Amino acid sequence: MKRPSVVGATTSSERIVRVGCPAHNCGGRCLLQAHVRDGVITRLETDDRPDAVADPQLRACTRGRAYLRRQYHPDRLRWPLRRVGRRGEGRFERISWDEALDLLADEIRRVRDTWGNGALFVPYGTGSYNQTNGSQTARRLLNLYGGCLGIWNSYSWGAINVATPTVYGTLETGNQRQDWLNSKYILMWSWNPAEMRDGTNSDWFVKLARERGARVVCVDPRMSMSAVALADEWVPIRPGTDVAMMSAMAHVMITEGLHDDAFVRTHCMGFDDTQMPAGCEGAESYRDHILGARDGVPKTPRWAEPITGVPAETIARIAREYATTKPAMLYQGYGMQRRAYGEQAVRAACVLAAITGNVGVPGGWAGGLALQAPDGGPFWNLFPAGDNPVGAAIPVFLWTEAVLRGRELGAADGVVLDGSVPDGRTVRDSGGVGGEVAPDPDRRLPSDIKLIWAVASNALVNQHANINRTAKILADESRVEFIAVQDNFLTPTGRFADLVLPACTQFETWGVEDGWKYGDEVLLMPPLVPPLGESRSDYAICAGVAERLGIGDAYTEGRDERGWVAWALDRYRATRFPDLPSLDALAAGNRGVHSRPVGTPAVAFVDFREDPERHPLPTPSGKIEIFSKQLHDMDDPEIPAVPKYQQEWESPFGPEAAAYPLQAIGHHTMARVHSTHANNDWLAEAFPQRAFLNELDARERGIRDGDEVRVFNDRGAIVIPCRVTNRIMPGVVDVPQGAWWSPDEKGVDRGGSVNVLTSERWTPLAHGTAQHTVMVQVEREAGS
Amino acid sequence: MKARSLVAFTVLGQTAVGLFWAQAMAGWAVSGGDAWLRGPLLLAGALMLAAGLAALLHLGTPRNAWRALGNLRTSWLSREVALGGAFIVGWAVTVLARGARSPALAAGASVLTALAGAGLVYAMARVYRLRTVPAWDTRLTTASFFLTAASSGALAAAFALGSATSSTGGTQAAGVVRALVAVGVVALAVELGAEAAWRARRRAAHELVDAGLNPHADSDRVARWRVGLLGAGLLSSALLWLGAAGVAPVSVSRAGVTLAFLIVIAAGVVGRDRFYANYARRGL
Amino acid sequence: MTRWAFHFDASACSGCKACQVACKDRQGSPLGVRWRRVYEVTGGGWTRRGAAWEQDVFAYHLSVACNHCERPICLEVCPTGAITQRDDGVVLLDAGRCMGCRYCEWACPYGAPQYEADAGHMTKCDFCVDELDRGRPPTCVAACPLRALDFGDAAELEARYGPAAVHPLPEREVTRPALYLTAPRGADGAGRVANREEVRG
Repeated sequence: MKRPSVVGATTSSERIVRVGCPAHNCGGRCLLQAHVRDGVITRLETDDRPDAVADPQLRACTRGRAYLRRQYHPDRLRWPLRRVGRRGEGRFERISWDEALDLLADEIRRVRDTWGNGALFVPYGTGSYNQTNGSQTARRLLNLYGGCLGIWNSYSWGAINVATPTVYGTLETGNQRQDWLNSKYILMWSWNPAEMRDGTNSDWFVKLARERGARVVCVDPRMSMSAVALADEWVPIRPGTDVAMMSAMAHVMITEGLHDDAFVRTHCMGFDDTQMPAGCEGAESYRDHILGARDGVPKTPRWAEPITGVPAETIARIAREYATTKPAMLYQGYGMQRRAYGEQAVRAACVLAAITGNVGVPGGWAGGLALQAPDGGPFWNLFPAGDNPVGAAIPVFLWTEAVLRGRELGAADGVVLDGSVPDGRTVRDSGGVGGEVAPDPDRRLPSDIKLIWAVASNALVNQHANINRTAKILADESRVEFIAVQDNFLTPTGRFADLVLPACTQFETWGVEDGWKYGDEVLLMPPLVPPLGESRSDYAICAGVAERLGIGDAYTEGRDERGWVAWALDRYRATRFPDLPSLDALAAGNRGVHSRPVGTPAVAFVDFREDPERHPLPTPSGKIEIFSKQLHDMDDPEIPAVPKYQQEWESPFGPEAAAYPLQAIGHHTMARVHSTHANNDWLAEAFPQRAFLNELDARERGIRDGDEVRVFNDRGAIVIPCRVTNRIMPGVVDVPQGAWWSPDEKGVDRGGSVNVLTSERWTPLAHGTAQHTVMVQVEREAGS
Repeated sequence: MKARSLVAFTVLGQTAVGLFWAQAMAGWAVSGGDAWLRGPLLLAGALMLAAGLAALLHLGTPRNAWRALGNLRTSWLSREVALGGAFIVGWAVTVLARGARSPALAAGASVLTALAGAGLVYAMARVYRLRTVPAWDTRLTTASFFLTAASSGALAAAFALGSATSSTGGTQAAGVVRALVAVGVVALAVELGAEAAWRARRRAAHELVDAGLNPHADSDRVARWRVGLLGAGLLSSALLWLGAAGVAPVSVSRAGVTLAFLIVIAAGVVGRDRFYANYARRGL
Repeated sequence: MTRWAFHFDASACSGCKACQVACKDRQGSPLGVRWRRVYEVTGGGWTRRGAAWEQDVFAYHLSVACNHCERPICLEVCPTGAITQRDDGVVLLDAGRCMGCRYCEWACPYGAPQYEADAGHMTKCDFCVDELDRGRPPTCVAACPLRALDFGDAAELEARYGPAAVHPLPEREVTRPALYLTAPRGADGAGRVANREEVRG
């Protein structure tokens, strides 16, 4: 795709439009300047406003800069397709939109009439989610048609969403990021903002903090991009053992008197036996557990060393540094909670922040999910899916269970059946576990899942655990009777479709976005070019189905895509952005972004810190719950009341390690946004998909850099080239997640999708994904 | 790097120059006409034209090749092209002058062509004397290029004379062939000795480049082919010389000379292929 | 007269390659052609000490395009005169004059000249001269999410950051690049490039 290299003032036929980068689940919400000529986007530049801490440039990342290779990829879906052959073969024929929408509407109606609304399902998917593109458009439709089987929680934040409120009673535990510049010590634990982004500019803010004197330490099995760019020290740790190190750090603090005892007395509960909640006076306190008073095992650094692989002196030193440098941040990233006992990692990190008194102070960080103070931060998606009359929602990760045995699922499986379910994908201040109404233990879901309509989602196949298992389940047409997949490309999920609907990209329709988790900006996304081929926006597709189901007016409320963007702007204006201009003014002004500069950054829990009696936390005790009575009452050894290290069900210490001695992780690579951009050739050129293996492990297996290797366990095998590196701990192999599953004739995946290896087993408290808990073996592939 | 057309270009070109020198010196050494040297003279030109073709094959945009004279000020490649052109022109004049029986013109053109050839081989070597490529930036490169010209050129001349019908000839032609083979033997012996120097140079050069970008290929293994072929060439040439001198019971047959020539060319090709394979840059 | 130069902060580069890709987007470069390349340099290793792992691993990146050298070896060796240098130091390669001999590619110690196989000629970074001439930053500088790239007058940048190169960049005297660096943290001179397949071929 050659373009003339001379770029000067635009010609009369070229315009430059400032537009938000398409809203994938990338961790950023950035600004692009799109050069558009004759209906073609020819070039992308980025934000060039003045760059300031209070109002920084929103520079697009590598994926945003490579976007035109996706936008104009030859494999873009252009027209609807209907399956020929068996499901999963991936053979399709072209059909018209009328045929396609008729088919989908007929199937929705048929399944609803046969099995009930609870058999209809729109799976989790974050391929796009900013108003008129994304799964919320289909969810709204079905909710207006009597409802569907809802979902709650997310793949990204399963454990942290549920565990954070068990400590703080809320998910809003984070400060505006300009506050990071006040910190003197930043412990980046399993956090890689330079690569997965976690809000545009998060890595830059950490860099600025360093420049102002903060010491930065990364704890991670890999020397990540963030460790290289931002850290003074890298502490490699065995995956899944974070709580062991955190417990040992607590041991050092407690025995050396380094914790903030005054703060613990006034603001916390459950630290020791003098402050246990009523009814739990004799239960094991946090201090008891750390010192080994009950189990006889003091959680010393020496105890943690063989578990974590981290030298005991290092653990002790990090503990002292974090405890004595004021103020300090322990930022917990998300990889460490996407594992077997991820809830423990979340609670443990929050507790460390609490006992060091780093809560409610500038430069500190309370931990947990950390939605941004003072208002919870960006909305991500405002488009209203509405109430779901079915009144049932499954944890997102358990959808295969709902296919196989939906009618057996109840509250014990994390199903929410209280008549009023949270909207969509994430839990926000749901009150933590169980909600206001005590769940009826005998109620079950009304039906198995019989129809799946996947919109902007590759989570059905590629991103869900244990792909070979999922493939078998979906191939069985007696279970899920109809699968519609709506996307820009024919993904591995699309292979299992009975009907494929071509969605247009965000450049081809209206949208508007605010930040990703953090941020104080609104970015407008006007359409730049017409939809490719016959593709349509998700909203337009759903409106077409709505017509056929007789709910067209209710669905659209008389609005088109632009109308919904105007509606969203009204919402923004009424809440976080009172100065937001009208849509006409924004579009005419071609600024692309409206920002709310941050003066003094908001800090979470400032009021609580100042006066915990007058401003209690929304926890049962009103205090920071180091010990949770709620969890205690569950009486489940896998869900302790205080944070505890537990050996994972697939670990280097179990019998499975004999055959499968390596831990596999799948980090979120800059090459993709989950599975978006997997077919982007410039990104594949920059970051070819490889299995990253330590030099020592490679040598032991006779593997040289570049050799093809087989990474395998009982669940499946992938074969890809190996990158031998010293930037990963021995005993760990990294297969960056999101590569598209591409099984050969023997069923061996040549694309390198890590989910061929992962397990569908979920976490005990949140019923969330534990996809990073995997044991594998790696061998040099014969003939390589 | 793999640079097959450049291997061909340099080996053919240097052989052509050496061959021209050989036939020119034979012409000066032997009295009488030079019609018997017509074969070698024509072969020299043919080889140089083939070299030029090979060089064109290397280019991504051959239609811009004419621009290659555009930087005589600083570029040894420009100068190489100029000298190559001078050689071809001089060769053509030599051929025409001899054909027109203008001995003075032929002699003058021959001298100038020989000088141009020397300059050409020197310029070829200077092209590779890049301060950023330590494996090439050594006087060994210049020596090797001249040695190729000497050994391959001498054996090529012997081959061409062995194939030519000699009208004036007889013992004089045989004597010339013997002398050429002797030159070849000496040049090959020096080249064999130079292999040890090249080995040391390769090791030293590898210390100066980044090991990640330039994984050390096992070129010592292939270098043994080079040494083997040089040795075989040396041996066969020595046998021929001894046979021609009447010392060894070996007759200087056309087949024998051809075989020696082919072995020497093969040694040259292998050596030059290794030369390019040893390319590694300082820095990135 | 301004002599344009790059500044690269090797202590702040994550290796994300936004610079590489932004440049490709601006130029429409095909696969295999990288006017700007990001090299990963690593060293150190691992030793077992009882039940723990000790390591002295270090890593940093070098984002390098063309350094528009004061002694541009590419210009010296190019036979067709396709490579010229402006008064402000910018070295330009006129693809129309290039015959694709790749001699400049052999010579440049930074890997700047890139061969476009389909086109049969070389291309390389031009410092975004049309942006410079309009008073705007080069695309790579404007792209870097960590603000690790900058540009300006060579003398000013040298006064601020010093002339030292960073391993494995060659010593300054070889070609006198218009490139000034902030050294990475914790690196000794013993690292090697670890991502060869991402920067070559």
